[in-house]
Amino acid sequence: MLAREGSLGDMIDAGARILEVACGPCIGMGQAPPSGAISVRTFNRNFTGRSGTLDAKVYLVSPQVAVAAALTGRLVHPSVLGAPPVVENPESFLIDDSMIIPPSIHPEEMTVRMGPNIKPIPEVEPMPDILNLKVLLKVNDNITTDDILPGGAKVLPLRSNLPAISEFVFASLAPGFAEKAKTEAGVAIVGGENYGQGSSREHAALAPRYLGVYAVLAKSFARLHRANLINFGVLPLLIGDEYYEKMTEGDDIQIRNLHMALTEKGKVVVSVKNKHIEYEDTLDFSEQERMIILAGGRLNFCRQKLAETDH
Amino acid sequence: MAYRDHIVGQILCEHLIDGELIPGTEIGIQIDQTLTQDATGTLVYLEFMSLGVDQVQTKCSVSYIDHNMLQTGFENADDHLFLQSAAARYGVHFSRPGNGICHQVHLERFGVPGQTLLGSDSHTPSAGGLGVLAMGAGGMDVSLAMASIPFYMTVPKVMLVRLIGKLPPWVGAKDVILNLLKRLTVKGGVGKIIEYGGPAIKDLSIPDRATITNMGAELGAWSSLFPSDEVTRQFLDAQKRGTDWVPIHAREEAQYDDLIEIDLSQLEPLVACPPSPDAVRSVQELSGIRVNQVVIGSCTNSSYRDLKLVSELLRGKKYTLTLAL
Repeated sequence: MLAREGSLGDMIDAGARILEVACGPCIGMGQAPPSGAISVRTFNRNFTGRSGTLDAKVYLVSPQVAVAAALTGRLVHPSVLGAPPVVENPESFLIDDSMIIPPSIHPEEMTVRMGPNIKPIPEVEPMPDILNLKVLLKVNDNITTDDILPGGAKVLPLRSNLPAISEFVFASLAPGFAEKAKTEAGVAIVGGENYGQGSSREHAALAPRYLGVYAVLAKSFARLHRANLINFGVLPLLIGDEYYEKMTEGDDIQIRNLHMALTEKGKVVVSVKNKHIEYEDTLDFSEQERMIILAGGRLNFCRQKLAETDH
Repeated sequence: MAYRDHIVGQILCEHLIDGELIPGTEIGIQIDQTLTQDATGTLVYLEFMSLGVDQVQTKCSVSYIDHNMLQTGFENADDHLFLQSAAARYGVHFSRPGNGICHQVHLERFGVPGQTLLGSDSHTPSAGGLGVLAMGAGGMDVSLAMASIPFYMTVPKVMLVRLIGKLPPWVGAKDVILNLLKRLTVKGGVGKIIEYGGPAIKDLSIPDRATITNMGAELGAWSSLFPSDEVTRQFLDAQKRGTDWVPIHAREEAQYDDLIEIDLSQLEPLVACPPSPDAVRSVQELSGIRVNQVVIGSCTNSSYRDLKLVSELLRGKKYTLTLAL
């Protein structure tokens, strides 16, 4: 509509560089400012580094203030531009939905195209009653989801490819973690306080589970990551200071009586087989969480529920 | 019950499947619409596929391509094709790359007042400008909503932001939300939904309202929304979607957990300084700071009127700065 009315031409004439209609610079995709630059934007976020330039300073403003800055080279009150133009909303918009493809009327004939970088989510089995796990990694307090699975331009394009993205699990904290995990039948991680803080990315739970991480034993968990672990079939188990100190990398641990413990009929037994340590514990989960963990994650749980309502 | 008197309560009540409308307790609600963007969407549809459901169960689900647009290798292009084919297979509308930013397109072409919308993007509350209860959520929540599984949330506190007065020249909707960010900070909305009201909203167009609800995400709020009134009806008419309009207003006796009043006539052009959207100062205070780059657009400020205004101001002028639109 702006193009038909010539407004797009006015903007190009004035020297504006017109980008593809998309999120673009708002999510760091292009137009990173020069180093140390001041960038004035009509966006909604101005966190350090989000523009793509770590030392750039981003100021968020209205379109009016942005134009005033563009025309004067400075942050100024837009009244320097003279009388404000009167722009009304149109009584009718030019409607063109040709770029929106409606759902197919023959969906059953459609096939889903999955290129080589797109892999289905593998099936996860229900939580076994007994877990025999190797402690492959022990970490300190405040481990972030970035530590568990980094973001960034190298890893982000692999978000639909679980086998490939899993290679980056703990890549900076414990190089070689993915390789080692794949040689074990089951893996446990021992963590300190606030395990999994930071971004709520689901891959930070999904990718370790793909590598065979069945349980994380930590002093405490960050709320969103704890939910993601449960959603993807990983058992988040609380441990006290005493056992945190005693457990080390390379330990063979057994977690048993899980089914009874998850149905609130008994206690879970944790033993460190190579150290002759054994203790019992109760599990602190909501009713819903217990059922999800037993099912092997929320997708399994919901699939079962959907199947029940069908019959 | 008092909770059902405000707009949030009315919409939650109509969509309640599990639990009771007692603040702080957990409820499950029915989701009418979903939206995804490509960066989070691939996992959403992979999750949906693993649920084994044949078709989406929502009233309307839309898959947008607007994030990873640069095709420097096969990966993003393959993702786009995957999303397009998954949309065709499972009954989802597909907005092709180049059609626009998800929140702007959804506001114009899909949002329906009084419905619930769950999106795998934090700025999904943009649709609140139309009176949609729109929330951002994790990918799995969105895929489950597409399979008609209720969305579980804590019954939120509701804050009323009452707008009075008339905006002075050169002051816009962006300045309203920047003023609110200054007063409440980026944590001020946590655990809350923000409802707008007051005599001044009749002067705010739907895209203006969407600029305000969009940046409610920066307040940390679950969602933000406006009533659905005559302005909403006119906008939907202009979009040839007049039949989607229903009126939604808070009842007079509605009670809120918090109340803030903003006199629009007292506002001036504002600036959020780095590195946080709540570090807000007036442009007068910062006047004279040299600028190296100007970028206009995004899901906050790229409506027809925003860009028309920009083109009117730029017509016949030239400048040496980098300006990207």
